[in-house]
Amino acid sequence: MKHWKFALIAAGWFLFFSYNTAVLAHEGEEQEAETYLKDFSTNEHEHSDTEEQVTDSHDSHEIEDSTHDSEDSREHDSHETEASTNHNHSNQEHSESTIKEESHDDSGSHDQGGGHGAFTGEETGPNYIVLSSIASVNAGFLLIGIWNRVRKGGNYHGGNK
Amino acid sequence: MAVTNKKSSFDLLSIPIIKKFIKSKWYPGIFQWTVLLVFSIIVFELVAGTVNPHRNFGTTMTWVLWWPIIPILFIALGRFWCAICPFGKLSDIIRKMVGSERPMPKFLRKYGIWLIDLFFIAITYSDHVWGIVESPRGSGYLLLLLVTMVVATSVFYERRTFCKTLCFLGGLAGNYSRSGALQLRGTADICRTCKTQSCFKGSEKAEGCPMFQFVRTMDSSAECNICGNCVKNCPNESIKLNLRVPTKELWSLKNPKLEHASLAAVIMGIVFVQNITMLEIWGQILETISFVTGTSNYVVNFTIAFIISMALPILLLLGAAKLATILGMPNTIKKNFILFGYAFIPLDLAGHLGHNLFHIITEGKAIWYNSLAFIGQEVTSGDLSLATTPTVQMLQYIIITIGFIGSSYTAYKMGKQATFKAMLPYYGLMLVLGIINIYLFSLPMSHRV
Ligand code: SF4
Ligand code: SF4
Repeated sequence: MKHWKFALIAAGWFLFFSYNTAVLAHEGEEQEAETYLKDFSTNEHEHSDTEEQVTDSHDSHEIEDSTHDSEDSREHDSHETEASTNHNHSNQEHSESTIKEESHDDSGSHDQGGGHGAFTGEETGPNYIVLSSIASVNAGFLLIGIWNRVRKGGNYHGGNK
Repeated sequence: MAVTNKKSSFDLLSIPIIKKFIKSKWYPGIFQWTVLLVFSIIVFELVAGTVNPHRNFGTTMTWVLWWPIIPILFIALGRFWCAICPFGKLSDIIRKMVGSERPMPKFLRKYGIWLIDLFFIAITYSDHVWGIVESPRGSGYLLLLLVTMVVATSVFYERRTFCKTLCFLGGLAGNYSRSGALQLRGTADICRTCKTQSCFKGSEKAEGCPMFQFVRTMDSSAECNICGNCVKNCPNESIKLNLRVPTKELWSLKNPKLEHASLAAVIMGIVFVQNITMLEIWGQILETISFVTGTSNYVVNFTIAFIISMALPILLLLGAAKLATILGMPNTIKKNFILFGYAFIPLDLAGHLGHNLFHIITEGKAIWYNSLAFIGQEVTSGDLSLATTPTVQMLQYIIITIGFIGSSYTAYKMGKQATFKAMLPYYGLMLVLGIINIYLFSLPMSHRV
């Protein structure tokens, strides 16, 4: 394959992956806000810290730092209180507390919640920008494949039948 | 020649109905198309369904059902999953339709497993930083990124280049399958005189080995998918599909490689990361790290915990190799590091299985509820667990004990020429890893869904 083709493909991959990595990161950010809020104190802690990082990567540091400090002390406090309760639990108690938390769901349908974590976020539809970018990259590769076949006139099997 | 001529182990192909099925066009197609259909539904649900991970059918099927049962499949059936894997099938379809069938690039041939090691680490890391597993959309985009890599490699390169050199699950599958209970080999006397070599080259019956294996020289199950192509192609009925004692392949490795041993150590590190971050004391651990680093930035503190967890098994293995050499183990430290790295595999499997057993048992009913919800049924849900936490923990301890015995026995078999004294560091290492795993499982864990 000629060098320019390699360069083109490499550039395409770079753009594609860097774009999608950012999207994944953003997805995580939304996730933090929406679904990480499980009943466990540890996850709340994670939540606050990850949020910091996501903000870190975008905007000015000063504003964030102050936000972090205040958020953090708040999170830490709540964490400590909850952690102390949690850590006094035996495993059986943990499982019982989970069941208790869930028992109010018993009357409702699964659609209305239930399971181990409480979902507090908003439903969002498919992200068509991401999906179409993935689809077009894949279509691009398939077109290259078709083009290769057309050029070689069907002589493509090599040794492997 | 690496083929077998032992008559002792049972050959599944001696059962006519199994041989007929594997030789038929239905195998493995019937499984492949079924899995591909389910995979398409899962991806659709992940990218277009609810963003609530507790209710998303795709999240439940991927992380609560599939991921926990995958190590069981590797133990029982070797790398059979790769034969029916949707990515592999997609690769087969694309190569057939528009593939250029170029030879695998030298770079991938040489550094493929290292790339797998890196991908594995990167995926685990990014999952914890960006929450891919907990996010249906994140999981969906991850699967679509893998689809894109499959499409790109299959358009250009021959056979399953992606599976052999880039798929992180393939790396895991390869390592675990060495401990598997199933092995496909040729018959030495028959293969020696073979002129066609159609197991590798292919025939009108089927494509040549998609995993670049030549049955005549194949001495490991790490790269054999049990796809049956060689069974179909071999004109001399040389192939045997034997049951074997799990971990047996590890006892007498002919050509141990640093990248495989490293992958075994990396997997142990990943199991540690997965366990530690799901512990309810994870918050406390982060706090302790933040006390040392002086920052509450999650990524910084998680990165430190991640590096420690990943480095721990490698450093312990290195320390054991050095100590064993001092105590009279033949070979250099590097050679001992590489060889005994493989002995981690049974404990890796046990750790992976034990961790995911927690999810499948304590979140198992989510599979039922979300499957019913997927087909439009209203269901009443409550507790998702199939058994109590102490029951799960008891099972985890048993699994880790079996893994410890497997790893220790593997180390014992590997070091058959060494003295007991020289082997002590390895037995100690397996014991330490077993105890760490049991300790982690004894702590309360949080759930995925
Ligand atoms: S085609 Fe059959 S006999 Fe020939 S090398 Fe392959 S497995 Fe052996
Ligand atoms: S050795 Fe045979 S069964 Fe194994 S992957 Fe190759 S063709 Fe398939």
